[in-house]
Amino acid sequence: MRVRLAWRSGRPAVRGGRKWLIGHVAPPDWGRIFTEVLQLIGIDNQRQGNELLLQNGHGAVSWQVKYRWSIVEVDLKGFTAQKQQLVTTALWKSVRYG
Amino acid sequence: MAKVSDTVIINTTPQKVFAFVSDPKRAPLFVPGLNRISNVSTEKPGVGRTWEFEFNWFGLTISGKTECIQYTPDSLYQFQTRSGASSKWTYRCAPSDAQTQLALEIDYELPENLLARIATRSALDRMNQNRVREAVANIKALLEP
Repeated sequence: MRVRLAWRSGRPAVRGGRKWLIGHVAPPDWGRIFTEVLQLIGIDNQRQGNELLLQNGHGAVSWQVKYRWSIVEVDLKGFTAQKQQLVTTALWKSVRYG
Repeated sequence: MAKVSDTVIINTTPQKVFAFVSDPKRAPLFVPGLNRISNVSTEKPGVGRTWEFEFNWFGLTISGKTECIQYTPDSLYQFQTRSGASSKWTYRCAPSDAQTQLALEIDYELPENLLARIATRSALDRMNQNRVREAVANIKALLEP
């Protein structure tokens, strides 16, 4: 089984916002990985370049791919605090294990 | 075997709740400490479907194989670990007015090496009870708008 090394910023800059730094050898297909997770949760989304826009203005997941690392930013809006935490955790697990 | 259980009312149909909990790929979304599910044997749900899991149980990583042992659409879903820590998970869905009553029951054996290392049996039982409560609350949060 594969595990990616990943780091989380200490505190979100804004409520619902998260930024992660992920090390990798080959660049992961973040669009596919995050879309699969969001589909499991039942959140429709639309891809625009390196960003997934969540349905009903619930925010976005975006990523920048560099040579040996990626930066992922999660910015969720409008969910309950618990659902926001669950979606963030699911995305984080997909970063580590997806 | 020890047992923990909890029940929650979810504001949606039993069909929707059952479809959500009976897909092993969804389990890491709501089971605290479940890192990942892999190698699901078939897309078709039912008795005999197997998958592998990796679970972080209070700092101890446990991995193993699981098999679905009961599957009654929209009402009963049960699986049992075949390797790793021994446990049996039972989900029951029942209509309750226009909502669904979801019950989760877990029968499990505590790994004796862990028991000796980190905590008393009663403390670990309490921690597991908290986890099952958290799991059903998570399902409710994910399925309700």
